[in-house]
Amino acid sequence: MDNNYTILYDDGSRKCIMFSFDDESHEDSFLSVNQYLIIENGEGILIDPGSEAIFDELFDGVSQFIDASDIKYIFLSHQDPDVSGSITQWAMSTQAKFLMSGLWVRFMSHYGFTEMSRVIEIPDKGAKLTLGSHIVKFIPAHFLHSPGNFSLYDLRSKILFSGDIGAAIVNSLDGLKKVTSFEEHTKSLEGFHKRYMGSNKLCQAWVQRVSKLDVLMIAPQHGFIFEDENIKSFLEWLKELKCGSDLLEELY
Amino acid sequence: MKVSHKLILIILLGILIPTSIVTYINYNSSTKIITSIVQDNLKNSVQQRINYVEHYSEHLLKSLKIVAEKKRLYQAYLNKDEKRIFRILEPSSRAHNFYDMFLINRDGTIEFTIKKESDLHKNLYDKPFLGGKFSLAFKELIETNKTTIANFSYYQPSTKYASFLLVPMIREGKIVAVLAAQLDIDIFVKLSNDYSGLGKSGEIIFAEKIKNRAVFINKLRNDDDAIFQHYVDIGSKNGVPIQNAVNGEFGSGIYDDYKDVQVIASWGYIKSFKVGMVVKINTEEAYSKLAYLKNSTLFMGLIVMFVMLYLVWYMKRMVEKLEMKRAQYEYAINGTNDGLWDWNLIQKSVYFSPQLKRMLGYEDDEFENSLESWKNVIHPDDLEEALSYARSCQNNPNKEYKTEYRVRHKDGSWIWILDRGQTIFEKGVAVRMVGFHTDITENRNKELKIREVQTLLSNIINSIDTLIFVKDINFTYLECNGAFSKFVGKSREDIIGKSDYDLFPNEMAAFFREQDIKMLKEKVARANYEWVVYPDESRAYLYTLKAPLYDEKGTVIGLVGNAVDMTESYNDKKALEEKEEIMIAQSRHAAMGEMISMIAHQWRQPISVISMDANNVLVDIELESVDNDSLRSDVSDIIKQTKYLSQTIDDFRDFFKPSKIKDEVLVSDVFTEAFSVISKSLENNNIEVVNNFQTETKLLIFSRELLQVFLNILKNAKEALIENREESRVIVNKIFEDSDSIIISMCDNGGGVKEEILQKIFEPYFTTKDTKNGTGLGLYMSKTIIEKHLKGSIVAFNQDEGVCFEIRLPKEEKSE
Repeated sequence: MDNNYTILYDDGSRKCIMFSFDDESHEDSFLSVNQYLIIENGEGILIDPGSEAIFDELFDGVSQFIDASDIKYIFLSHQDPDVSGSITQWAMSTQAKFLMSGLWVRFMSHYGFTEMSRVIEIPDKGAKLTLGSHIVKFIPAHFLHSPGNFSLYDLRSKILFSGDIGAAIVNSLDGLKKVTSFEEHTKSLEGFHKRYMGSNKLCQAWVQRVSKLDVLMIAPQHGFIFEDENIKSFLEWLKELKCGSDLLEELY
Repeated sequence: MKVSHKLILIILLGILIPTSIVTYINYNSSTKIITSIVQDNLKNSVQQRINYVEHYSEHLLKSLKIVAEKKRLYQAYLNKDEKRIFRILEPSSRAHNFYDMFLINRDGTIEFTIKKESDLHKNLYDKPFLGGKFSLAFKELIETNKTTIANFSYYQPSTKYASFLLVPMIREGKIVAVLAAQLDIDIFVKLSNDYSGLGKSGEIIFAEKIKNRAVFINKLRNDDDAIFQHYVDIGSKNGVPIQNAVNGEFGSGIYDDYKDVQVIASWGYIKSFKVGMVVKINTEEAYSKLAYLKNSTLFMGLIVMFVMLYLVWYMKRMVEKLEMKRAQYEYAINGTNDGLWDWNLIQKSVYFSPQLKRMLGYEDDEFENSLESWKNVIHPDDLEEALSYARSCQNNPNKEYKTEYRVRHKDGSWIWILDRGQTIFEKGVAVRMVGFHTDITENRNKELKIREVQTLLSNIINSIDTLIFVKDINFTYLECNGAFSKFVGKSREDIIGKSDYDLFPNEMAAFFREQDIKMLKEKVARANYEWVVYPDESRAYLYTLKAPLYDEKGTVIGLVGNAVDMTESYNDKKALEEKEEIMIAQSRHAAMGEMISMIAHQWRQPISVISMDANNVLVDIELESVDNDSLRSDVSDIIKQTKYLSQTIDDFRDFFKPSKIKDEVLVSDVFTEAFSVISKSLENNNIEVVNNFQTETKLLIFSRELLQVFLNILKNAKEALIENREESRVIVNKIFEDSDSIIISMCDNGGGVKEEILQKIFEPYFTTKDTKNGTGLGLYMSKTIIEKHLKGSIVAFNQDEGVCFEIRLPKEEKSE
């Protein structure tokens, strides 16, 4: 991959960058992984930096935009290794604070992480913080799929970094990671969401919350980006989706 | 020992010495604590740094392993696709600050490097690598199949001191190649050479054990050349910590470092890199805090000492003051002969000082220390009041106990006591009363005397009818007596402090004020008569005398006045004047009687001559010897005598004619006129009269009154001569004048008047003669006429064989 990043938003001072470093082990499973970086005025927040396998490359990639010591926050939407596995490496190589649900702080030690004082626990109802000239909001997305889960919404770029919500098992052969036909894309979404998401009720809650936001782009941790009418389509689709506990009989 | 000395001793022994000991112990234990704290801190610091480095090396190896396991890399290696290899390794190299990364064939040939320096395609088993740390580590990896880290050493191609981290690329259980990363010593040292918390002398040393030496592998804080230059021989005396460190030990303690400086050091061993680490700080600096502590302790000690000394000084001064006060009180009590008492209200006990008892005539053991014994001696009339007063003082913290009463002396006499004291309260409850007895019997008696004198004085001034008042310089009343108070119609208290304008009608007050001002201006006593109106509207005629009131320095401080009610005496005077007139009338009536008798004298002879002539005529007719001549002679004689009688009548009529009009006369003429009235009577009594008149000055006088005086004196002389002398009865009358007076002197030789009587002869109704002859008014009237009507003087004195009257009449009447 020659170009390992895509600029999603750039107004001259604030930039949102998508990285797509993949673990070799996932290369075959079509579970493409996206990492995101928002920077403004030499401050940065890194979103879901991923597994330790991609640390070297992501660190190198991020370093093209911001000095590692200027990364102020690293947001971990949930505890999974493809999201949080490199926490120890990032802790060693930056002075950043880690933002995550309080549910997972204790589990981080399993990744070799010990500096608990650098963790800021996001309360269940969500939170916000200022980065550069604008704030970013942490939107509750519990049980979608992780029990302690948040999406991140940037008020400036109006991008919703949705974590595993909207994630798709898909392979981009041409490197373009945007949903072109939602209809087509539902096939890639369905399998993942039905099994990974908690329930329709939870989906509705999240959709209801997100609907209040002015969202120009939904950027999931896996798969493709939603823009324009696809956002609405996705939200409607998700709202109606029967998943998780809705499908109990299939599981038990 | 004085109390102040005791106090100093107590403070020294009880406070200063224990404080010093505690300070000393504190200082000692602080030293130990600080040493152990510094050591602990260093130990922790070393441990943390080592942990971090170890952690980091693990992290580096892990990252390398991940890269080494990448299929892409293997593929690229097999295909000798340098570009692809570069793309895979370069991010890691950058991410971890590796100087260079290598892919090395199993046979030791360096297949790929990022930097492509001179080492590319060289074999690690060949020169110049053979025997080097990198080569050795590679050999070890091939032999053990495990990741290795090469010791830091000078690496020629890069000309840097570096360590190498090596991980195998394993395919199907076999090492196909080795991935190596070159880590500069600077990057390694940077991991843990944070000097914060190490002060100025703090030092971090990394060393490798090379042969029998601990060789420093980092630049020292203050010595860039130390790197691979400084070393410490294992087993040498100095630099024990670094020796221990490179030997893989952990520990801490106080040692002399390689420079022979005493340090507190902590050491440990970084296993992964086989590097010993020492963190040390000079004891001098470590203890600088202690020195600060020591100094501050000393400083505090000094402050405490100064405070103590000040306290001692202050308390000493206070105690000395108290002692002095006590001495003063003792002296005062002994000196004043006051008796002390102390009544404990809680324990219900009383103490009386020996002096108090002596005052009552008792020895110390003769008078029991109890309230009862006091009750026994206090006058029964005073007991209740004194007790209730004491009780009231015990209920009121602001009330001073001060009272006077009588107590019985041992000898039975009563003495007056001034009892002064104070109630002592604790938490609002009276617990004690303390006080003094002063014998004031003498004062009391003096007071009584003074009061008596005062009473007497005030009684005196209040008893007399004279109005007495005192005003200050501003004419405000200072004092007055009862008569004045009655005059004003207000009480003394209402008058004092007021002015005339407050007390009297404006007109009257103005008059008084005018008089006062005039008097004070002239500073001479002034008297005046004035009519005033009493409050009951009765009028009074006051004779008021005002005089300046001086203080002891002679300054005028006001005025003192007294006024006598002269209304009565004014009335008396009027009465007297009326009486005088009556008396004059009386005397005139008396004189008239005399005149009649004198007329009788005068007339006796001419009547007998007429009678005789008539008889002669009758006899001649009887005898028929009437001849014209003798008839003519007799009748002429009768006519002559009748004329004389008529003349006499005229004279007397003039005499009795009361004259209110002054006429201008010669005194000698007046005298002659008087004399003519009495001359026959004198003649009949054989009294020789010698007159010598030498006067030419006429006076404007009431001549009839002067005539009466002359008559009175001549008559008195006649009566004295008749009574006291048989023969050569003489009256000598002289009238002469000097420059301003006419002097009339009338002397007889009738035996004079006794001296004691001489003083009284001018008093009214005084007479030496029997009642038949005198009214007792003659000379009184004469004096009144001479002095009051004629403004002259009259005196009587004995001379030769009789009495002389001398009358002086002023030539010019004195102006009134």
